[in-house]
Amino acid sequence: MEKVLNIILQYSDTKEERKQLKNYLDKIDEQLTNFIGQLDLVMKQLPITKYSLGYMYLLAAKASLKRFQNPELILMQIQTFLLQCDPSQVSMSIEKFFFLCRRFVTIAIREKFAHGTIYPLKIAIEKIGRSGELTPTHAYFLQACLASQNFSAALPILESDVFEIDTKHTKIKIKDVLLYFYYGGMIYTGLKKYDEATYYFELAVTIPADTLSSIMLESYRRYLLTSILSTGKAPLIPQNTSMSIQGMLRKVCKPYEEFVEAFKSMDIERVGICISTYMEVYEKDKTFGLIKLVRDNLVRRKIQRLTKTYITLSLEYVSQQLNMNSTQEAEFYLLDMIEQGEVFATIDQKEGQISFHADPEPYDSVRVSLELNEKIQEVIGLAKNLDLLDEKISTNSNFIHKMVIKELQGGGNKTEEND
Amino acid sequence: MSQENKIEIEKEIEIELEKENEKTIEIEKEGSGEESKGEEEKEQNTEKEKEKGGEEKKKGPTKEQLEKIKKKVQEREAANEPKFIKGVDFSSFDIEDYIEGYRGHTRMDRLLFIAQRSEIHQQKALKMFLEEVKKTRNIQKYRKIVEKYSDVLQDEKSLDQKWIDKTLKDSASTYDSLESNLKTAKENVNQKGIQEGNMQLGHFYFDKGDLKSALKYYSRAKEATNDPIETANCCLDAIKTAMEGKSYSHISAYLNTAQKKSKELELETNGILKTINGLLQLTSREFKTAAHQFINAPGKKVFEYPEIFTSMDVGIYGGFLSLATFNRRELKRNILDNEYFKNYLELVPEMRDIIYNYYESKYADFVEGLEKIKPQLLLDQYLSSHVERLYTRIREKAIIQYFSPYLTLDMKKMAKDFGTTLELIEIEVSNLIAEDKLAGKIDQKNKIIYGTRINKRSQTFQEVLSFGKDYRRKTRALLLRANLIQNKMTVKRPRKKVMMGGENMNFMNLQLLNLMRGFN
Repeated sequence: MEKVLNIILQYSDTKEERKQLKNYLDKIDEQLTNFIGQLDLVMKQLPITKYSLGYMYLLAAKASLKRFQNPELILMQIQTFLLQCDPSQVSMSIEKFFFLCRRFVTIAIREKFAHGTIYPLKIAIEKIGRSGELTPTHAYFLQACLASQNFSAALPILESDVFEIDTKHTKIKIKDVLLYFYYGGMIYTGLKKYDEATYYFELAVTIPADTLSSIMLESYRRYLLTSILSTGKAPLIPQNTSMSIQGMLRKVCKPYEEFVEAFKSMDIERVGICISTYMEVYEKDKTFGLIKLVRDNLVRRKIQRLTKTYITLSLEYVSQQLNMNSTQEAEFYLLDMIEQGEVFATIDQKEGQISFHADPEPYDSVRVSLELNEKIQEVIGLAKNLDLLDEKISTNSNFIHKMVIKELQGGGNKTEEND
Repeated sequence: MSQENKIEIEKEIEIELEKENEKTIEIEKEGSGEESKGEEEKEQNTEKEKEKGGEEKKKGPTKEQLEKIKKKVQEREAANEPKFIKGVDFSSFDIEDYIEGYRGHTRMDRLLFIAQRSEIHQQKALKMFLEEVKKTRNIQKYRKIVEKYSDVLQDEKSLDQKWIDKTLKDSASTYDSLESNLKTAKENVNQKGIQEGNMQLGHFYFDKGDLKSALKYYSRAKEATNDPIETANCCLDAIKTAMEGKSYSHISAYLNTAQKKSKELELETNGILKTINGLLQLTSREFKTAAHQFINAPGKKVFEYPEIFTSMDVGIYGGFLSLATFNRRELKRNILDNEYFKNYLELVPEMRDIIYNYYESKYADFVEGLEKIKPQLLLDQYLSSHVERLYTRIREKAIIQYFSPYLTLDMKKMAKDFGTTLELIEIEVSNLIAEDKLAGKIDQKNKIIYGTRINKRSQTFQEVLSFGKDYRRKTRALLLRANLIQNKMTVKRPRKKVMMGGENMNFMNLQLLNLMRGFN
């Protein structure tokens, strides 16, 4: 270990040196685990920021253990490391870094310390990767937020719309991508933002795939449920799902498809029957909570349907139509919906009448025009991205090559001009 | 061949045919719309039938199998038994008037249809049916109906054995002479003779009720001639046969053949073919297409083909279906301004009045007229099963039209004009609103319907915002996928070596893996 320490101390100043250091460390990486007992001592002697690269390898070696006598210590160590490390050094061996983050979250979850990892991981995300670029750390970050039930902590990251992928830079794997969107969907579900949740689950399901992964499977199930919660309509399988897995998804998710069908029929009894038939499946998949939410939602949907048809209505009628036990129940639901802004109405308790109003949004405020402006800018930005992508592909030598061959073979039928 | 042998053979053929007929009836009953059970069961039935049909064809039926199948078919038939139509007063319906216009086998079929659906008319219809059936050579039908309805028929309870014997004898000798004629014609390669001979045999089998053989001979006759008119005639005969056996695929095939040379056919024949096409569409519930067929069929002369339909039928079918499926503009163009079809409508003044009343918004008369012709439509072989559905449609359209000029409307008046109660009209209207067919809202307290003035401005804003959101999402997703593909990242099949601890396997359990293997 003395040797290792010295080498680290010596070879950490210039970029060239660091490259050599990295090669060395890679070579001896496996052996580091033999010196577990001494790692702590060595690490204490290395100021983190200056010697981030070396420190990282040592720390990672320690973190790769399955069990810890003193888990708090390792967690502290990783935490400090993440906060103090030097991005330029760390990005030389980025896989190690991600490995460290992953172990960080795993250990923390086991020790019920997930909430403590949120801030360090956030810093880690900011240090590595360009903004908007997806890294494995994003997935771990979301996992930590989910495990500690700190949903809103994840919002800033989620809302920054991370969609770029660059494997050379980040060495990200497909599993991480899947996890990011799956966790993202779960977090939005926890925040009751079902619209966004559906979007994220849909993204997870439409990732190009040859075979079905269980992450995708779970995403699809929740996609069905959150889709109903947000739109009230039965969702179709996302258009861009890979062909090979579409059939598989349908078959494996039969209990959910049936549930969706039952919901579509707007029949509360049928939904109830479906739930009791498949209760075990739902509980095993841990989607039972969502299912219950959806069933509740059905009642609200029916009330909303009524708003479409009626201007005034008696509470009696509502409770009758929805097979409720009393007018109080109808009143309760309505109050809730009015508060949530799902329905615009006033209740006249004396008469037992409800009056519905039209949506009072006049769309004529400054706020609206600002919002519109912002969105227009976004769309222009996206359109530019699309154009760039299109250009990149059409000027790609491989693509041109293919097109030329096609034309020659096809006898020059296609006369598409590539700009 | 000796007499006894022939009779035995006949009897065997009868039994087989009975099965065939029942099977086709079973299969096509679903098609023609005997609204017995839900769609799933229908599919099941047809599938089972097809299975059995396939079975039989493959192996060649043994006696046991025949027995078994016969039993099953009987059971199924018992379940699909046509029942009396309740809740409608059929007393205004005059059987004799109705059946007057028809000829041939369709008289028999229609009478049976009426007997099975109208309780009041059952006895009379059955009696008339028996008269008709005795004009044919269809012994088994006669026998079947007499046995089935023996408790209803009082006088004619017993089988008229004399007629049966006479007919059998007669059939046998006719068959002999026809067979020999055909044989001679074939030997002499007399094309015309062959064609005629085949036709005659076709007629013979048709009369006997052996529809399968009839079709066989008709198609041979058709092949023996190139003349478009004669072909068309053969096709018509074949179609007639197929209609009786309700085998719709055959009808469609023969229609196609006949209509291929439609230019060289007389206007009348073309009209007949079009009408038959309309009936075919009707059975497959293509109401609008059927309506068009009926309306475009007519030419300058009023035509009919009494072996299947009368000219009045054209008027009724055409008018009724158009009322149910056309919008106002189409109605005007196709019916009111249609000179030729008008001639047919004049034959059925009740229908004509209904359409005019609808168009002129005379709702009270309209509703009354509609109710009045209901019994008649219900007892029509082709329309009966669709009547309720189409009536609902027509009513809906009327309600929508009724409401269209108003901003606020009193539901009590509406109920009166449509001849129902306030509660019922409220239910109808609320259903229409919920299905987006009516733009309005109900004030339940005061029983008024308010037309909604859609705020176009806020609607536009909403649409724009949602469209923008949609675009952003789709584009982002697309960029993501493009990115992934560019980086060659997809969810790949795990390699078999990677069993434990590999990254791929961490999240997949063996169960899922097996599932996937099962799908490959």
